[in-house]
Amino acid sequence: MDFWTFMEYAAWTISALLVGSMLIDARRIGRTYSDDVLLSSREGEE
Amino acid sequence: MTSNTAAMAGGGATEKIALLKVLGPVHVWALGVGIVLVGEFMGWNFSVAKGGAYGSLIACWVIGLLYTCVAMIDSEVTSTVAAAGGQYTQAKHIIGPLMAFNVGLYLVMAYTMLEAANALVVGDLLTAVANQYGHAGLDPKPFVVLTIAFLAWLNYRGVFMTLTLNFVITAFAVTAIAVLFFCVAPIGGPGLLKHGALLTELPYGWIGVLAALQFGMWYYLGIEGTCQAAEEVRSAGRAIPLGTMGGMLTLLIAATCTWYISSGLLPWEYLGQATTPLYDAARLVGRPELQVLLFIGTLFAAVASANGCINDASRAWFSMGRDRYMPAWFGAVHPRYRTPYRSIMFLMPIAIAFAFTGLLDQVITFSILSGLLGYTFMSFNITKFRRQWPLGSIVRGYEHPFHPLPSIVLFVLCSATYFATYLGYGTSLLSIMAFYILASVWFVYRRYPFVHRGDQFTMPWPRPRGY
Repeated sequence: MDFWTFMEYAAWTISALLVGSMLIDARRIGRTYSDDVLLSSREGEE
Repeated sequence: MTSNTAAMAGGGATEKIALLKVLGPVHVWALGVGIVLVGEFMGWNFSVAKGGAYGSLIACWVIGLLYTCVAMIDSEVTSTVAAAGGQYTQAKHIIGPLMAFNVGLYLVMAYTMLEAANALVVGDLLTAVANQYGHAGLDPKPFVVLTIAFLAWLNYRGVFMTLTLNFVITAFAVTAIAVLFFCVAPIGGPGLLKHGALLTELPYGWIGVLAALQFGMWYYLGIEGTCQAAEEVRSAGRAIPLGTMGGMLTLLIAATCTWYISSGLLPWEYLGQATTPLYDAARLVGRPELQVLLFIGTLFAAVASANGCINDASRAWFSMGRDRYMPAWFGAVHPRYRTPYRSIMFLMPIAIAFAFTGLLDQVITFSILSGLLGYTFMSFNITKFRRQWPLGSIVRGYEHPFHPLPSIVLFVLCSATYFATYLGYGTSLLSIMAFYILASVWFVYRRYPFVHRGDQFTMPWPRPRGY
């Protein structure tokens, strides 16, 4: 396997890890906090 | 810094989560210039194919005038509307919900398409490097996905870190252009530029200059994105005008330098179809370190642009979700990172899907036309804003001069650019118009019933004049 082929596989792997970490965190947040809290932001309020 | 704190897990809904007010004028500059600067490294030069080198220069300055009007108008209105939606929120308060929905969609489409195009550029650059080092046929797709995934992750984790990184890489890209300028310009010596030999008459006459206007937008497309940071700056009245107008000044200088360098080194027939004109200009100088500098500058410019686009598209989608113009689920704020995390994640596969089409010119055209529709709205928006809330009726962080001249100039130049786009991309223009009309019909009949009409007007403004 040459350097560039390794880079292709590395790019796919890192991408999967990044997307996976966001999905896992988002799921954890969704289970920890209610939507009343997560959707409580209001335009124009401090 | 917002006084709100995250509510306890599973606790009552008495405390609210909001976006963090952590940004300053430098971040606003980094956001605006970061989105735009990739257009100096590539894309603007297609205006040379339409109108020759002189036609491209005319397009550069005429469209520069268009965007100066955009920057001035946007700075005034946004300095009073400290909310994440930018022009969407402006339209909601000044025109009405249907205009606001369309403007929100323009913003999301323009930035998501531009993000996809930037990721494609990163993939293509790496493919070109691999080719140079003997590896033909490198698949750009994993690098396209990695670019979008990494920048989405960065945006997910926090706006301060995202835009601070954007400042660093954007400043590097601006410096690369400046270094190239000082290496080739006739300062303290004859220089390397050959304008006398390379510049020609207008090859297609004045109709070519008109057609060149469309690609002149690449020099500046996206500077209006600074408004999306309005809810996250410490002082909207100060940071937005400073960052936006400072960014516009930077871009006017960078665009002129870019034209000056490229037209003095490359014949217009080549320049009009080059993929990376500034990089090609650096190669002609014959200094390897300059070549490396411009390559990195091009890469950084594409990454900074994609980063800013993710920031802006997600804020626009988040604002529409918060107002129920889109499902309210998208209006969530991350309790720890204080980012619109659901919107960021939702738009990621959409950008990747557009990037995977590989149709760079169609994707860019859609982005340009969406932006153009937004600029046309601005000319009506400021006229109505000044009429209903005259100077002195509300506190403005910035008051743009010579009103209504900038809005008239903006409308006229937008009209000319629509015609220019129709000359080259008539089918795309009509398709995009049809898309927005269909989307508007969907909004009126399927979404507007869910909107809390009483909550639409959130700014502390007095009753408008005449009401």
